Amino acid sequence: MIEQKKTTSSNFDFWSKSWPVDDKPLSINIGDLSLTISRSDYEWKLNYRWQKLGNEGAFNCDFLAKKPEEYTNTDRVAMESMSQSLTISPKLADRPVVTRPYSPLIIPGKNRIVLRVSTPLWISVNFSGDVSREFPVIKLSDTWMGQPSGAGELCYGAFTHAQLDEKLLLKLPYRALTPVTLHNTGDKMLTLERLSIPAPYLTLYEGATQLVTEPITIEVDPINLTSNAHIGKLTGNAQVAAPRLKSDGVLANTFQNLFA
Amino acid sequence: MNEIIPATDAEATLTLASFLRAAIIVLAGWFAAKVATRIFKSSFRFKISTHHLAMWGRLLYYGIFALFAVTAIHQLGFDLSVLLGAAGILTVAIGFASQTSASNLISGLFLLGEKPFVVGDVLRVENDTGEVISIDLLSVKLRTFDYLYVRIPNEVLIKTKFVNLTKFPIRRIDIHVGVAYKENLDEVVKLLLSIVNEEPRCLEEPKPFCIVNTFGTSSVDLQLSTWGRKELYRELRSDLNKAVKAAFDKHDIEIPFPHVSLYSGSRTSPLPITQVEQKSS
Repeated sequence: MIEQKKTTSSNFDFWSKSWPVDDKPLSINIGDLSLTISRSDYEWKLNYRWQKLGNEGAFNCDFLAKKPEEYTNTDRVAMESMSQSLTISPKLADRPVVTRPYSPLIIPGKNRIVLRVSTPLWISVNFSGDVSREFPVIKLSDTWMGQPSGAGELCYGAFTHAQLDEKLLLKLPYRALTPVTLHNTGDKMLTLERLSIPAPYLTLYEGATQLVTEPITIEVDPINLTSNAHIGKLTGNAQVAAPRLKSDGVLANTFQNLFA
Repeated sequence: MNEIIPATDAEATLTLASFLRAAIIVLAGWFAAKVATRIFKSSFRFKISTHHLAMWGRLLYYGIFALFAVTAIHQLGFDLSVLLGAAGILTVAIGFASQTSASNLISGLFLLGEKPFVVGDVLRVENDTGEVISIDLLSVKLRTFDYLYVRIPNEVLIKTKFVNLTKFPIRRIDIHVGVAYKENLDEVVKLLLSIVNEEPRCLEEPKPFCIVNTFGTSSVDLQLSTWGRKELYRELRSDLNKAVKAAFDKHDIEIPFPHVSLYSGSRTSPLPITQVEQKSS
């Protein structure tokens, strides 16, 4: 039995809070990301790095009493009229995320299973209006889903436990959970080696213990090599972030792009 | 009595007025052509590609200007049918003289239809490699990486092979490295693959691979191949080369210099060397 990761009780309040930044820099540690934000009269200075912490990533945001450690990456955001505070909001990835189970999963023909797949969040630091910067909490590798000669798309690559049992989920506050129903409509057995989650088309909601998205249903025909993804609806949950791209709920795509 | 205007004065007045009218028509034509081209370009800027925009814009400009020029010629009193007849003969003469240009023009149209490359792509044509900066009716212009200007006639592109290095969104990067014969090849392959697996810019799919290519004269030659986005090709290849060197240094894996080993006849017995002290006389 995998021990449940403890989450702070104010996870969801964290996302809607306004952080006034004056003399003391703000330190944000979420997942692998360490970000320090300082404010001066004419610019915001963002200092950040990523360290591989796996499931032990932090989830906190505090004001620092002393000068922060200098990280390798620095961005400066200049504004004509400097805002006094900022907010931090979660978002899903800006590209589809290709998740690979740590071990291949076999789905017999005419079977339907529900996988729980989590993908890392992006955080958006919003200074005012349209002025914001986004950072992934975990730096994902690039990957390609589809034919290398062009009929495919650039995605992020990640590993997943692809849990079938909800009790085994880690429930990390910096990852969003997507229930994926996989329906093997053919007679042949299907081996799940990787699965593309269409993150830009999904909405982020508050779940019971972590952020969730609406469920996806994927029907796969391993004989004709086709698959269709339907984005379901989630009711009764508060919306945290709108999808980056609009879809009509159906993402018809080739076998190669969604499933392999 | 009707005043009789001397013939020379009448002719001069008519000619001057005609010239003025023709000049005004030409000026108006130039202005109209410019305005029409500007409107066309601003309307279609985001609807068609850059080189189509430039090409159709030029055709529109010269077409409108030509119409006004013909009207101006008519104003000057020239008989257009005579001009057309002369133009017919001239066309034949020009046709023979401009076979190459005509061929380039036709080739340009074929290239436009086939679209093997667009402005911004990197082409390798024979010994020249560069970015396509414009695709014109007669030729394609490249800018090499060291900022030289290369003009390639369209006919050459139709007739010869060229390589579009940026046609597809991803590209394979091959790192060729040789290691000493004494090294454990399984460990070397594992180390090389770990380098690309740690690098987020290397695509997870298509999967990277490492193969032992040949047994060279001085080293065992391996090839590490990984895929990356085309725009990151150069920097990723350089960073991977650096990472390989650093990893080999860290794990004491030798990248041998070309060398020759001398054997006295048996591969296990080296040449005997004896140091002899020089006797002082």
